[in-house]
Amino acid sequence: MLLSILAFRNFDLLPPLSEGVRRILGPSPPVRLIQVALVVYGFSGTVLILARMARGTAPGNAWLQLGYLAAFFGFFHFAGALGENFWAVLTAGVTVVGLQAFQGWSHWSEQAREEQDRLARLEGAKRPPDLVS
Amino acid sequence: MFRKICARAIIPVALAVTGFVVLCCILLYSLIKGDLIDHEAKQSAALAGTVLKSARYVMLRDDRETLRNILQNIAAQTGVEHTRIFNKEGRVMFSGKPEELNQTVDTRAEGCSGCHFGPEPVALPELNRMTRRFTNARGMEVLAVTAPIFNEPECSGTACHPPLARQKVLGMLDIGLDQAPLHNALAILRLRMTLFSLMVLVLTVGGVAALLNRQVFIPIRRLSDFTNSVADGNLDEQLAGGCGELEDVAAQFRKMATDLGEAQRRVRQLEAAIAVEQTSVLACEGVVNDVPEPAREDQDAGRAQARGADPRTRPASAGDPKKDS
Repeated sequence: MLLSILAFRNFDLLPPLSEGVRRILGPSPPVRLIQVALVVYGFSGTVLILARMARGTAPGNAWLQLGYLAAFFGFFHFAGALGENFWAVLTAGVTVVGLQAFQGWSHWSEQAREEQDRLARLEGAKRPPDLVS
Repeated sequence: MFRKICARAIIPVALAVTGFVVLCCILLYSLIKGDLIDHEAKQSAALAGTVLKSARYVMLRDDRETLRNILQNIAAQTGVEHTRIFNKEGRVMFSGKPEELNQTVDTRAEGCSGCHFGPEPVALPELNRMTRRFTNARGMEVLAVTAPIFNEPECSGTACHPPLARQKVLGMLDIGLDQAPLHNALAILRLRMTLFSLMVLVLTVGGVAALLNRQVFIPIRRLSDFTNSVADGNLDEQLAGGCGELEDVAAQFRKMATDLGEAQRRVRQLEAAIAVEQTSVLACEGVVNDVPEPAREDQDAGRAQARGADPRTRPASAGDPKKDS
């Protein structure tokens, strides 16, 4: 959220990049190339999370997705095209992070329920036979 | 709500499809908008070239009245905001609007600074340096294209202009085009893309939800109701058919419930038979207790004879009615 607000304000709260830093970084990549990378990121991220959901494996690292988003905001800002592409990056981020959050919630709640069932079975096994019957 | 299988199946699909379609639409719109703006800039540059070629003969003849007339006619066209020619010093020499004549443009202004950024202006500017966008005093967004009018031997041969070696560019033609039609086209494109996205989302998410509901969720709900009913002891409940594997599960469950019902019915029958037997045994015991000892032995002998056995060879427990039963 904080990252999106900062990006929406075109990172005006942060100090601008100096000419020396810009010279070190070199020219920004073409905007269309960043857009293609954003589509690839959105597609592959969604497919990977859906595949993890289908397999029932644990969710990936959410901080990594935030890192990708920050990188896309940074690249567009550096290329001077953040204003036109802000909503695209935000949509991709909400989709991937939202899916990951849903997968995390679904996976861990299922794990918690299985643990509760296991505990209940263990407690049942510990009871005296007359109480069990 | 999220605990239900329906929500768990549909929410990820809806989120993934919606997010990706919206992302693609935003980027596609951005690409189309960029292409349209580039195309508009090229078109305006081509228009400026056409005007220059059309006015070349008039300028060579130094026919100022005809040149003024040409510019006024172009400026009267719908979508053309301004048309003017200014000299190397930036003074407006000809214009579609007479009130602009003899005004001087600032070479540091937006659109001029693209070529006038150094000590000498750029003689052959690229397309992106020739065009500029700005909002005029009337609040209209304008795409302006500035094309240089180069000095030629025919121009410098007369007394009108200095020789080619001294002056390469005689002046600039500046044409401003209203951007409202482009914005209208983009608004229509936005509306169509929004409608298209909505239709794709409704078809995809709605289709998946409807199929899942029909093929999976409704049979599961029926199965759930059926198992609840069986759990409440209602074994006569019938299960409506499902589809595929769910139909197999339903059939197995129905068979299990029917077997359970049959087993329970047999248990009840056996219990009833045992109860009848016990009652008759108790009644017999009561009768036996009232009968004298010799008469009881006669009765036992009679029973054994009826079974085809000698009462004297029977085991010791044969007379015990409880063991018999």
